[in-house]
Amino acid sequence: MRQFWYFFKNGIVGENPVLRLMIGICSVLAVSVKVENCLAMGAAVIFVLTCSSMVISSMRKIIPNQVRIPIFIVVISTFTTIVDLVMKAYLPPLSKAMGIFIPLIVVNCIIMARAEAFASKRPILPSIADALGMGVGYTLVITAIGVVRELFGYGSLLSVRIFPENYQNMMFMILPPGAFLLIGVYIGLLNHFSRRKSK
Amino acid sequence: MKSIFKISLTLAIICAIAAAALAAVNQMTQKVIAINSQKELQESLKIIYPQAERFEQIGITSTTPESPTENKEFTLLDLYQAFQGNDTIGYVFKVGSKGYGGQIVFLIAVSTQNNTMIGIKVLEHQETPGLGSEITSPRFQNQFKEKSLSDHFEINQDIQAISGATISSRAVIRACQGVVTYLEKERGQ
Repeated sequence: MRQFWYFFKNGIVGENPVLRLMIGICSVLAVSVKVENCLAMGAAVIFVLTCSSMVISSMRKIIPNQVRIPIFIVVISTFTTIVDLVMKAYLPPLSKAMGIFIPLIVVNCIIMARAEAFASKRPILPSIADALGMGVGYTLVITAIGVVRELFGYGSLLSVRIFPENYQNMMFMILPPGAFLLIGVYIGLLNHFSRRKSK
Repeated sequence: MKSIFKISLTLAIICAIAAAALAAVNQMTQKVIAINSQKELQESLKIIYPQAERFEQIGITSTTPESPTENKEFTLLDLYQAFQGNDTIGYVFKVGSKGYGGQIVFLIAVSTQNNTMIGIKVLEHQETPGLGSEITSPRFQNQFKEKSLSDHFEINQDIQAISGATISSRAVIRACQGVVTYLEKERGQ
């Protein structure tokens, strides 16, 4: 159990996919304009990541080394398509807002990287812990970026108006540079606090 | 040789399992998705043209009417006739127009009684979230309300484009021009 928490926490702080491993950035830039998109994207990534890590880890002994990458892709894309179809059927408004980015989870390098570096080498339980940690870490960062971008870019949070009606939207926050800048600020903050802690 | 056979067999089996799982999920969701889109279409028609009591789908004479500018990348998908009682009060066009991230599908309602546009409503799009996706916002769409069809729908004169999303705005405007041309042609014949 302690090991479970260790791998879980590793994904959130120690090896946060966005802030430390710097992978999966493109979906962060694209989706993080609104908080509700961030939460939906996070949920979709957590689901796909956990399911594919679980399946890949349980099959790790029968997957031939030569064709492991195609097999990972088949597994990941199966789960992504399931999410896409289920969202289309039961959450049509959200599915519309996310547009192309749900199918693009297939090529999100976080999932591929965790399958290759972690799930294909370890038993199921640590793999699930790692996947959940990575997924939650991704969701936390993307939401933290989304909160700032939506607040300053649209003057609202979760589509609820926060700033007065005549607030001039900050275009810069809606455009990708806003996200790049925020990622940089968060990396700096994370480094600052983890360094202070180790001293 | 034996190992190649074994490798491909493993891959094939895994692909087959994945295909079976997807077929099952598709089977379950297909109906719901179809019902959703049908319901959404009926609701959209009602929202876009509240005065109409019922709609009837009618045939299109030509699927790619020419718009005066940029006639490419624009298609008429469906045409609905709007009725109030037994009188035709207008039409709703379902059109596709090429935007920044692919085809934008939306409805354009026009009134034949006073020759104005009733409004537009976007059904499907893959535009950039936060920029191009603003074509769905009321602020952009309200510009099309009560617009006379004799206007030319010029960008930034009749219709203010969304800043940072000129291509998406242009796609919507292009379709409006196309619809106007189509109606003019129909009337001419």
